[in-house]
Amino acid sequence: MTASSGPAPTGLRLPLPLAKLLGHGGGAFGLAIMVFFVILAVFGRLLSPYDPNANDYMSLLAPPSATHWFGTDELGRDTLSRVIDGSRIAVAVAFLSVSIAMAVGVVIGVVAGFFGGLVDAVLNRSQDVLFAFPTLLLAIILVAVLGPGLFNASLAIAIVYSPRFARMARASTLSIKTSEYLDAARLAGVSTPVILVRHVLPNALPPVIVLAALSMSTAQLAYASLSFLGLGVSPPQADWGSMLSKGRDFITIAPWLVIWPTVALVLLMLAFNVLGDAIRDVLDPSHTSTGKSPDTIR
Amino acid sequence: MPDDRTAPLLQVENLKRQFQVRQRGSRESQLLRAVDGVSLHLEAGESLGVVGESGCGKSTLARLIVGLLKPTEGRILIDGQDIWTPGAAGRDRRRKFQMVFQNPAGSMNPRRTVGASVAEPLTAKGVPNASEAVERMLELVGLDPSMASRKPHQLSGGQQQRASIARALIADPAIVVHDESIASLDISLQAQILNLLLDLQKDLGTSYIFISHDLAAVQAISHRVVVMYLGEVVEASDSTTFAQRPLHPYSLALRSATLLPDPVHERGRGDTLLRGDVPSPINPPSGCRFHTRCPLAKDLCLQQKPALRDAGSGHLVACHYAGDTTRPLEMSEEVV
Repeated sequence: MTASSGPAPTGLRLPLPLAKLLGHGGGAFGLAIMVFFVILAVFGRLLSPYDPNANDYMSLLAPPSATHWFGTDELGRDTLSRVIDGSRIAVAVAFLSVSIAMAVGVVIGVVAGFFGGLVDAVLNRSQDVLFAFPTLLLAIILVAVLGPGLFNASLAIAIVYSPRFARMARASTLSIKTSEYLDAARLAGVSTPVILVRHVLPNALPPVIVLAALSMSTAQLAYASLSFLGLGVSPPQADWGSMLSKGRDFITIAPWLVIWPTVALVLLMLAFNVLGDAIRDVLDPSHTSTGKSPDTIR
Repeated sequence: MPDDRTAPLLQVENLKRQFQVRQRGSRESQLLRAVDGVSLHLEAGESLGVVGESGCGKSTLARLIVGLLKPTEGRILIDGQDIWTPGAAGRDRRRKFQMVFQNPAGSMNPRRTVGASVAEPLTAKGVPNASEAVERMLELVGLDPSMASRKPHQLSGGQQQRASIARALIADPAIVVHDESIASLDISLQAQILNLLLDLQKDLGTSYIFISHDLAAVQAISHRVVVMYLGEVVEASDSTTFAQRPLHPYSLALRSATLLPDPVHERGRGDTLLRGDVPSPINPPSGCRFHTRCPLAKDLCLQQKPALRDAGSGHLVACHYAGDTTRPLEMSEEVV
């Protein structure tokens, strides 16, 4: 136990998380790419050189050139514009599905862990059922039931992903439940709902946030797979998964049709992954980087 | 000695708490008697020390007394009224208890300020402006009021402990239970905190219960001492009598385990009397529960459980042979 007055360097979590994230080499890298894609998603229509759905029959399956940097597809649509337009869907799905999964999972996990007993058993078993299916298979079944489309696909992914969040939230809740500060709150006469919101939730969230960042990467991939199978947004809306699906037919004569969406997909996944790792490091009190060390730049 | 005839502030009657435990892989659950028929009482403004090895049910007793655990059997009365009366009456009675926890670092929410934690008993009651009371309380326990805006991890161990004491005392409780609350601090700090607690007791008239394995500390600060072994009370006495002449062989053994300040004396004293671990409370030994480790044990102890008997002037002891003129004296010479 360090018996020093004054702020200890360990676990400065809340005051400057963003600054710490930027000080973390991977965090800065991940954040930069993510911000880049978010900007593309929001301002894509202004930035893209062509209308992503406009056909140019004079240049079908044109290779990358000065006029079409990423080439064109079989209908003469500009691949760069379509990749940019597709980032809208990718970013939207990643955030939408993970937010829903997190909200649902955290509520289920905290309630199950806190109340225990029958509530826990019922909630836990229902989550186990979801867990038993392979991720993508369950998502496909759900989309088949719900119908294709951006929101339905996100919802399906959210349902498939919610058990992970529930498990993690439940595990943290179980350890918080036996903590002395919770006993102290009970002794103080704090009501159960207030205890849940004020003491359990804030302390259960940090590991969940790490999981959320990491899940965005796989959620986005899962959506691309659904879209590849034709269960995503309906054409002509550009979408990386469906672009890959279409481009596959021309892979030998026009490889740029699959290369560029793949590059975008991998880059965004990488960003989410690296960012998740960085958030975990920053939130972990035992990770005590004393400021920005120059050798962490990658 | 307070008068026993009027209703004491706190009265614990035949308190029992059992837990169902299931061993890994086994289907049967067994009964663990953590607290098994404990009775004690406490007067207003008094301190009671509860001593025993780890695993003897001290912490369960503490949690039962403050109302964090419901007893399986028995009653806890404050001012003669049951704290587990259903509804608001029981809830209000349970509010008269506070607790200072073992681990000062873990007893405050790491994500809230110290001030918010200290204010919690007041804010939960609906007191609108608690910040003034928090400042006053922090000053009373010897902390700078500016500490209120810090997070718990920005305080040292001693400061954290003072803050927990402030939180325990802020809503003016009748009884504060200290569950090993000083064990995690270093010796000089322990003395400081104990003195602080005694000063506060004089000022506020709060009653304390000290749960501890440290016999010397408990003896020094309590008016009465209760010794527990495997969920039962084996000796109860006022602390001066107890300090001069503990009767139960277990109490003697505990005393032999306390370190003496004089190294020469300490070295010449020989080994402690107690060997082995506390037996499992799932299958406690027959007869007297202490017989497996007792230097005085005879056949009678294996068969018959000794009841708490008065060995003179309210000094209660549960032993068939304790207080016999010959052997315990022999033993205490060896010990002291």
